[in-house]
Amino acid sequence: MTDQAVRNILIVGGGTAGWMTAAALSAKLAGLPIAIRLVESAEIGTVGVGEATVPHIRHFNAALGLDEADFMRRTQATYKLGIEFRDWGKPGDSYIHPFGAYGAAIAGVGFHHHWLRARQGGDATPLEAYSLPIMAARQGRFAPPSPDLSSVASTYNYAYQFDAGLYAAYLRAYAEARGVVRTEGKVADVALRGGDGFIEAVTMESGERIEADLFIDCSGFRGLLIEQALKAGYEDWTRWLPCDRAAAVPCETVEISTPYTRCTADTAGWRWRIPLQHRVGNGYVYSSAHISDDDAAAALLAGLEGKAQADPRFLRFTAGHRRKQWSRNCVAVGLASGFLEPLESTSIHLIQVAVTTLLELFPDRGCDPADQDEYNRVMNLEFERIRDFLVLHYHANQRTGSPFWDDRRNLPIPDSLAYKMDLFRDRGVVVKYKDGFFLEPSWLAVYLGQNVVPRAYDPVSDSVPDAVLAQRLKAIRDSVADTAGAMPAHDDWVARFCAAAPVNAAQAVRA
Amino acid sequence: MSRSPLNSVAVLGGGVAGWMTAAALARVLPGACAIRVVDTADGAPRGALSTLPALRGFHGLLGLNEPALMRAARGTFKLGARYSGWTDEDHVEGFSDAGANLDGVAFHHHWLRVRERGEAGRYEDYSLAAVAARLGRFAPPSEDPRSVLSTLSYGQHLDAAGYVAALRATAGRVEARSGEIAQVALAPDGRIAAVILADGERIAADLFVDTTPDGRLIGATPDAGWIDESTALPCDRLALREVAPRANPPPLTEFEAIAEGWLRRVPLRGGDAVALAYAGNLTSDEAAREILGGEAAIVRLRNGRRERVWTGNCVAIGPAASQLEPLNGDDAQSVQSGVGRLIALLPTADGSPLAAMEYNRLMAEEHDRARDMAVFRYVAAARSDPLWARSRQAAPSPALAYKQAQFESRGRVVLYDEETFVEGAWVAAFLGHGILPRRHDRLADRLPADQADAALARLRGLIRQAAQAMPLHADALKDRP
Repeated sequence: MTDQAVRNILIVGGGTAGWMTAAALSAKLAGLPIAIRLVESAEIGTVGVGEATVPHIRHFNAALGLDEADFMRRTQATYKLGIEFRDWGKPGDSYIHPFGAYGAAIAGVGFHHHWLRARQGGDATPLEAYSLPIMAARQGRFAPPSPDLSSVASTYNYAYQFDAGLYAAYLRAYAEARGVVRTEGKVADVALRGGDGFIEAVTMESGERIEADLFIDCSGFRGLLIEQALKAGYEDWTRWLPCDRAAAVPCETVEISTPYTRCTADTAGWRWRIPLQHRVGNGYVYSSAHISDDDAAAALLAGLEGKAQADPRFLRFTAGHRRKQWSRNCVAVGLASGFLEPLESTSIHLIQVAVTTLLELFPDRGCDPADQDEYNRVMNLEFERIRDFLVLHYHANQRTGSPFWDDRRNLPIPDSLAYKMDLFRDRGVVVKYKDGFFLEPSWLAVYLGQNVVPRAYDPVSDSVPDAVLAQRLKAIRDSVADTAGAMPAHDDWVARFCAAAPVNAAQAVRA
Repeated sequence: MSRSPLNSVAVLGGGVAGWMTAAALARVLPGACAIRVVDTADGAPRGALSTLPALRGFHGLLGLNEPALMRAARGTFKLGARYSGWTDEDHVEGFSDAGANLDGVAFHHHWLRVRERGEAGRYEDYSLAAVAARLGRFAPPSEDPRSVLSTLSYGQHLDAAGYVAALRATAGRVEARSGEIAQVALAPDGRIAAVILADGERIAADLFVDTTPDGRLIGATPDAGWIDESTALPCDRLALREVAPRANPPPLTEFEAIAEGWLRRVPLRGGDAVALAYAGNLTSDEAAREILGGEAAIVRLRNGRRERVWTGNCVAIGPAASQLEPLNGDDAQSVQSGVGRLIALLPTADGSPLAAMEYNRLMAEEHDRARDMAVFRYVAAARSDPLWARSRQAAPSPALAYKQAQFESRGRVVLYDEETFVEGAWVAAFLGHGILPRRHDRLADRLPADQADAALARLRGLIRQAAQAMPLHADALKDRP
């Protein structure tokens, strides 16, 4: 049994995926006789689109033992309480998808049912008045959640907005300190072994041949190992998610650095705004069938709040995932495994899930097909559930008269999403599954934020008398407003807790 | 915009399913909604229930006082279940997870590793509930997370008739009568218009809950196909009898596999409820009574479930909806979730077909996963008697086959949607029934081997000591009358 143990791992590609993988493996496999190498080339740019994260990143960092303030300083990070979606339902609409619940259940019935009931009774209070992270975000305020679970100040979570390139560099230092050996250079050739077709070795342009028992493909969209060498195949989701390009450009900070990311719907896709300490990351994710690169870049530049710090960079992609994200002795992580546009900041999350699942199913040299099957089952499910959530944003639009948006509204959606939407429209039921990243508050935020309103609420809500309900709603609203109002300004909290060193101009233009 | 609320619910059948449903609805539905129960003769409660800890949460919602319930239902405590005769060695599946995560790796991987090297004892030796139960001892869980007693959890053994009496007592506003169903009158759209009783009374309601043993109501609707699972689960009869109590019954349900099927023993105050599950075409009722040692009530069992447990304005809960040989010790679980989900998806008076669709999806998933646990026990049984050989002619569900293959490969527990049994329960069942993974999690090897040996030995000693310090079950029952 022990003679089948993995002795060495080769990670092909650095970037966020490569270094997150290297850092996690070096931490979790410490003490085992396993050598970890990473090859990357400075000539190949990294994508680094995923500058906004979801709260799970905190578990990842905690598992590595990272110091939060240090990590934030070194990555120019800001806090993130949610994502603002502008113009998604109708032009002019704005809602925030928060990292936290709305209100609290009353009489065992979910809060949103009571809110719907009050609304039908003429109470026009928006749902967001019952969400502490949204109220704080709207005012540009931030404080970490309270550990006191009875306090409204404990009812949210947070993530970060950071420079993914700096995060990769930070994790590189971490991984190298734990024995990961980095080799600079490009891969020239991939050799498969006769018989089982496992990857035997990669040969570098320098001529060096590197063998390994397990290969991690972090080479990005092209999938150097998983696709080019192992022909894993690609499940193409363009029919549901047709955006296939992005233009990205950083700009100077003008507004305050808001504790939230912003996604604004546009002619043929959407634009992101991610405020960091030293700059603002911006981009336009679009469908090349609906807008030219030049027009997209012009729209992106026209929407900047401050001076652009570089020319727009263009990226191409196809929504979907590899049919086998783990094939033979190769596991694809990051963009090599698939792509879902970063509308809900899931890029880094998918890397995290991949690495965590790989560690849970850490194989021996034979790479038992049972391990591969289970890994692919878990990852495919993760991709599918996120896909449905993204498609919901596009589908539930009222932006009539624009070809891109009319198609999104009118073309078929996945059956699994149609089922969920039917249940919600009928009586506010949010369909739950054991696996899948987005939970009830997330679905509520997008449904109600994009004007998908149930025809009826849970009838059990009526067991709460009108006057009692009105009182409870007011109490929650007041406590949310008071708590949010008492939080420090986000910029002040960042300055106090984790202010990064100023960046010189040359570094700031780093793409 | 709001739709007409339910004005009336009729529960036909009564028994455990009927009264759990009525008691819960009485708590939740607005006072304006009338709730009626019709107790039919064949719905009368029989035998005993062996329940999971989760049922106590249901009692909490009903405001059912535990000591009072235990008195009314001759209740005893349950720390788990013992299986003997299934494989070479018997085993206990206890209501506390075995061991503890060490170094971030699930305990059973450490146990497998230590076992590969030498002496690790039985897996159950690391479950306080299992060890205490074997010793005939019981204590309630501690609230102090540092205490090993905080790992405990417990269920109950309840006399079904006494349980129904306790439920009735909490269901104050429910209007109850006895009666027999003469006819189920359908409206042209397939909904139930009324149920006509033998004495001529016509029961009309917005919503009908079918808690009859054979699904008299739902079976009359056009959409009530039954999925038969009797090949993999071969027992179609239960013989029920009560025998003299033991001086100190262990806080355990005991399941003993025998040639004809399996025997179950549930300790109650004043007697043990025993049951034999068998197949009528292999074993006669007379032979079954002989095995039980005297007169016994015979109950028919039909393993399977409805394709749709909610159709139109009729929801089936309990045996009308699904039946499984009661060999997981999860009695009343499907009723509890059937009622809970009905409340979460409560229909309006004019019907809620989408809510029904979701309800059916959830209840089907839940049944299928609990069925997989029962089927697994047959799959894993090392017996070749005709009944046991017959059960193995059915291919396990793809979900179970995958789950077992994953565990056999490397001790991974795959959990699907709506599982009744969580990871620890599956590990205890797999290992207890003799399914050993081919390899353990490599990450367990980070812990130096001698440290792992010592940690496990220490843990085993600690648990044994804690169990021995607990009162005898009989004394615990006396102290908490």
